[in-house]
Amino acid sequence: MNAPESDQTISDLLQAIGDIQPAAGSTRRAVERARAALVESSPVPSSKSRRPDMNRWITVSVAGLVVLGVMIPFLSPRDAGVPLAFADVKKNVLRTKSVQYVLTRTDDDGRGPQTSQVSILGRYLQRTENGTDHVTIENARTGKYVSLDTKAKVCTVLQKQVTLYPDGSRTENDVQPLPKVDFYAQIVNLPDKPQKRLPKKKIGDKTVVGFYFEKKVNGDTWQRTYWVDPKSKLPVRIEVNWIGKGGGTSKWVMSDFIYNEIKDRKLFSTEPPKGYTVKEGKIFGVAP
Amino acid sequence: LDSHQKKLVSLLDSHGSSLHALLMRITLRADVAEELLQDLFIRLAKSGSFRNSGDSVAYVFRSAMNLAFDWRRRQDRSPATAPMVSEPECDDVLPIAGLIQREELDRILNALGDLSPISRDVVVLHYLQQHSYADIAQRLGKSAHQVRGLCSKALTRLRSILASAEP
Repeated sequence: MNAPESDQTISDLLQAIGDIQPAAGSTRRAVERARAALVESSPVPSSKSRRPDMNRWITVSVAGLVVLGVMIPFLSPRDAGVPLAFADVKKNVLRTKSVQYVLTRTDDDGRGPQTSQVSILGRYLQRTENGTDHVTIENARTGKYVSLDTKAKVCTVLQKQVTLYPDGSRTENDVQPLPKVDFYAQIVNLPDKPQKRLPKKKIGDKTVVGFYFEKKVNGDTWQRTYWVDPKSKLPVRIEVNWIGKGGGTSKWVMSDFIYNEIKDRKLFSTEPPKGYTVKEGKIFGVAP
Repeated sequence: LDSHQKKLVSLLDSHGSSLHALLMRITLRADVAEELLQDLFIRLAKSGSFRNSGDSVAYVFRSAMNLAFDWRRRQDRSPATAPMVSEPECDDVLPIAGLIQREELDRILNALGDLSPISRDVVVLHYLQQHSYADIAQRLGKSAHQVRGLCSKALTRLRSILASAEP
């Protein structure tokens, strides 16, 4: 079960609830019922006992939707020339249930690009497939993190997080739940307004618009470009460039996005699979 | 209709839509919101304190909130047993129910019901009814700065409630 981990997430969810609007027919029906009850001073039968009326209402609604479907191309802001706002992209991303994408990382060490298939469910479960026989699964809420070697059938449970400090000291703690997985955390932390809007271009069969962000952190520069399909208002490609203060560079490209298609929650289980040898491991990090 | 009933009908005409929307946002069920709106006005028709209330609009909205959160408390809080969408015969499926995880919204709304009345009211007014801090301040007789502070504290408290409810 998904739970919000930060005040920002809670605020986003509350805003999403605030955006809920009942269908006009539903409100009309509710108000009519309440009025009738007031006048008659007795409760009016619920909608369950008025199925014929509901069916008629549904028919009318369907007809209305058909008309609306015909009208939308003439009414939509997109066609009226209103540019897509990045705030709407953020909102739409946060409404997705799951996302899958290909992550390609290229460092300036000459090793060539490394590619992973990333799947995220519910904004806290992440599965990363590296190559053909290595999978990591992370539950950002519980802090459980496992690494599977599918060829050797070894499951490494990562329970300790070791941080190495420049003076040679180290600390060792239980793995702490992360606030959110990166894809969602990054977009939440981006401002609503990009530094630059980039001209339209084609990615595959989609015409996309670009939003460019640049931020300096401790002397390093982070450049992020979100290429978004204006129809779905969802990213189709994200490019992240890191330029270190010492001149080092890394580039991450997220592409081939698929939204809301993950059905199998078992793929994100952090329980060791049957037949696997279980080992304990540690996550190593270097303090800045 | 007596004057009391007329006052209620007038309130229903002017605020019925907003009240229904509020009930639906708290219950996440169109059919339940419909039932609760009717219950609300039947209760108000019988309520002596409503007759004597100074600000009848504020009274109605607060009663609607109480009614909806009472409904939530009565429900089994296990999201696994809660229906994911409205009743099949009801066409008013939440537009975002299929997009945002329903259980997440249920959890946050249940936690909202556990806040102190003032914190809950501020969060509901600001987020669920989308009132500005200045509007809420006027309604509650506080400064906008105080309301912002209350809202911030309420979010922190919500986070703490959600964290403590973690298995």
